[in-house]
Amino acid sequence: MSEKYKLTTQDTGKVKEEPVPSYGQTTLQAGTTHEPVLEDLIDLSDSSGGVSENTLNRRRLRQFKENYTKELLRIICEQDFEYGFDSSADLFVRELMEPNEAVTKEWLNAIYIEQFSDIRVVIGLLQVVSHLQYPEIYPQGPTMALAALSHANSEVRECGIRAFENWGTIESLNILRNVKCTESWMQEYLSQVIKDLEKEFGVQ
Amino acid sequence: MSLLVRKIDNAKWMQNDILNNDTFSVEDVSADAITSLKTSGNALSAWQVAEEAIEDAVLAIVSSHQHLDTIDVVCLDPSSLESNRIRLQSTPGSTPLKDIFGQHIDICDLTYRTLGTVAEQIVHILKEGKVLRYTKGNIKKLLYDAINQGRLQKDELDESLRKRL
Amino acid sequence: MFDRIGRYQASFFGNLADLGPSPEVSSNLLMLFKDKNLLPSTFQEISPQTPRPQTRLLLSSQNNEWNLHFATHRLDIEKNATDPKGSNLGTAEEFAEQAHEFFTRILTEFKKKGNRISLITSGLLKEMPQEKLADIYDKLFKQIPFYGDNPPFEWNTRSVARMTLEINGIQESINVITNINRVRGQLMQPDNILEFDRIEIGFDINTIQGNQETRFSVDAIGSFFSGANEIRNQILKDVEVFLDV
Repeated sequence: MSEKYKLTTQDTGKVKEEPVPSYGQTTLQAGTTHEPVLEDLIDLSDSSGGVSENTLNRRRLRQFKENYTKELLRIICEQDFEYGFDSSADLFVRELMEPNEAVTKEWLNAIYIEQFSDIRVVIGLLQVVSHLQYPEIYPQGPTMALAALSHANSEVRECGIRAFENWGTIESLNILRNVKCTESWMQEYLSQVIKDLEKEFGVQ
Repeated sequence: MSLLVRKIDNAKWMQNDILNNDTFSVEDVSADAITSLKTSGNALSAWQVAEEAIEDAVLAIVSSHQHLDTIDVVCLDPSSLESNRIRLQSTPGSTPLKDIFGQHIDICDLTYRTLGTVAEQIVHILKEGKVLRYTKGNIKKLLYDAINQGRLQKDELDESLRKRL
Repeated sequence: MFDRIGRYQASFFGNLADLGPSPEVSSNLLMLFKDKNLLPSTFQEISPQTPRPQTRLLLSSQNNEWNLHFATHRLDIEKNATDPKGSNLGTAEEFAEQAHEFFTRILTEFKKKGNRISLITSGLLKEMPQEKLADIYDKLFKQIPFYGDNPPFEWNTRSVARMTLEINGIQESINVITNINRVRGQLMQPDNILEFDRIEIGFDINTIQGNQETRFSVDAIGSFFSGANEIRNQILKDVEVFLDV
């Protein structure tokens, strides 16, 4: 939740580094429904020590955003992409996936949404996720590809179809069967992909 | 009749409503499409094949890939290029498909004008609906058949491609 | 009364485990909200019921105006400001109506009923002189001598009352939580950041957790929102008079 104001902490008078909701409620408070299900949870400073895994993951995601987003965007904008080959973005993301798949996927999805109106970035991200194996990139990959299918730009929509084609799963087939393209060339492509997948799975 | 087969990025070429605009000319092609041609040493790479052997060229192209991405190819007319004073030169190709090694062609010494000529041919092909799209399924079949026929050795393919087959 | 709205959030509690981030569910929801241009993404759910992080579905508008969090046991619909003044936010009643429409679509499509509903709002009052802020503190607190001698510059009050509200003809127990706080922070402006020191008032009005019976339909949500906003407005009127703000 991004609010248009943020609070200074009570103790130090300094503004916290990370945005926090404007109230310090916890789930332990009676009757409250304001549960921390959102990304930017309150880090309850705890003198008993021990940082939970949840806190670590949140921190990692923030670190990814701070440390890698700019670099990935630069790579995507400057790279020389060619279908059939690994791109610089592919290699960059794969390196980040190795130590922490979960956070990398979440980070990619976050950039995707933030940059949804930047065609180059959206296409670049879709090309990256389409080159990953389905189980590796699930669920964010198909989520991103689904969003692509209704993008205003035809090349983005095509990338969405390409992603589902590359993953080649039965879920991909079920999604693609419900897609309709306005461009005849894309509809032809879609129909062929559906046919290929139906053949692969032995379904009609 | 022989053809020069080359991969293109179809989506880039389709950017400016090329199909629905009767007055569309090469001058209206998007910059992304032109720059997607990616010359190297002022040359563009292509595979020269007979009309009935287009799939050999496609196989030459995809067998050096790392992914089974759908690709689009166009078949350029070598005589038309040469009549526009565009030089074609036989050069060693890079492909695991050994029986097509000698059929690699560089479209050479390209300039602003002659690159435009190539683009013009591509626009013409697009308008005629003659761009050939090879989906992942098509590519897989081509590769499998070539491997089964002994034309291609699986271990000569990129490891990434091998895993996907 | 409010100069800045902080948040609007409506929550529905029920079994939503099947509304995970699968392509089928995402696709279904995208079609359902096609007119709203919502984009699917994911978030990590961490809650007492799901101590291990779970990846769940999030639908957001690109300008972040709307976020729909599909957690395992709750669906949160939040509306955010799209400009520093929050000119898109509207009143709490307008938000409740919009949220109700979203709930209607989802709960009807997926045939869901819930066991709890809530409405959360908060906002900042306009800037006031220090004397007025101190006066408000004096009205709300019977302070201990230390704070009489050293007036605090930040304070919080949280009151939770239990009452009954008729929801679709049935008397339901609800919690009415009101926070009145003196808070300091920064207001994000296009060209600068403004420090502020203001009164914040927040509400969390919800049906009690104790009753886990799956009974709340779409109609119940509408009825609850109506009643909750009435209570909220009543409290705001009381606050306005009592604190003279």
